Amino acid sequence: MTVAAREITLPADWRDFWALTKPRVMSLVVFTALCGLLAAPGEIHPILAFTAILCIATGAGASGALNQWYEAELDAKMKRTAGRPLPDGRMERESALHFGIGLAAFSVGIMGVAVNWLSAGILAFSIFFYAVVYTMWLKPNTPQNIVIGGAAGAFPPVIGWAAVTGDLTLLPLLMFAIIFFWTPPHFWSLALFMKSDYGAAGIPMLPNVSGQRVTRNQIFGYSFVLAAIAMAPWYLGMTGAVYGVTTVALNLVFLGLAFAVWRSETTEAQMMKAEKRLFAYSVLYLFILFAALAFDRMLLV
Amino acid sequence: MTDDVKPAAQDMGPQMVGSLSVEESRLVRSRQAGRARAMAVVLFGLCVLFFAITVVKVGVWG
Repeated sequence: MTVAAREITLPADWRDFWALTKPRVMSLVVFTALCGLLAAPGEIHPILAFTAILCIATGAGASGALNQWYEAELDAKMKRTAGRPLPDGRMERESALHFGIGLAAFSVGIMGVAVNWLSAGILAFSIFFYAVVYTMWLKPNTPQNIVIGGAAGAFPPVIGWAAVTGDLTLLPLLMFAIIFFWTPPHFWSLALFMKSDYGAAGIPMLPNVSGQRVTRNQIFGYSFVLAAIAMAPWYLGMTGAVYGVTTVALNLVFLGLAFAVWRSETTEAQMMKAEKRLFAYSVLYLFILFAALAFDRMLLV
Repeated sequence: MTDDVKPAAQDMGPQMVGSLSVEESRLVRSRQAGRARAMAVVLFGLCVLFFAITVVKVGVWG
């Protein structure tokens, strides 16, 4: 007896769509966008503020989905990403593309209609920058990928600010610069202890291309630039003592941890405690720094 | 007889060949139901959000 074969496609679970949006990355995006919104002078109706944050989060989700759609084959080669819905075969690739485009169109459209078109324009550019400039062009081609690509993650506080004021001044640009210069030490400390993973996928991260010594030097160097930029809102008089004390303390610790990474000669990923400490601290650093900035500005404004 | 032989799940990706077993049928239905519920929640949330935005834009609540 023969049975006629027919193709059956298992529908992806809704949790797989949720996973496409990179929820953990989204939480940092939402937080920095909220801080940009709270730090801005002027008023915005709470419903419109909620809409702006929702659109920024959805835009970040769209970027994540488009990134995973494009990098499905690369993700399958790395332990850290092999369990994602596409490399794990839980979803069709086309679904991720449609989902990403849909989220992007929705977030930009609603932002423009409900909030303002400046914030919608910056949101659209940030999605394009992450999905096309970073994912498709920079990441597979240059070890400076996360330096230039860091701009994609730096847009949310600028969008939050623009949602309230409808324009841009020096402070939102400094907030952009803080995240921009925070990205290299954050990602390169990760790349140091994930070197083999990135190497297996053929991604030209700095430790794989230029070696560990160059990466450690760059981490230490960028940490000084970050400290100078992070203190700028205070010494330029845009924030008060709350932010001033917080930023000095946070940056001293950051420089201390970056110094430990710079001094280290460890090549074994399991032994890279200094690198793991800097990576974990850098996330906490950004949360506390932006919280202090928003709180300080709310006191001042 | 090769009719009953199915490839290992990891070789198939999201594609499966052959008729659905009872368990597979349950899995498909539970996923469809889960997606339908998630979509219902999203659509309801959007209705509430668009209504609220409209009210704010029109200026009913200042």
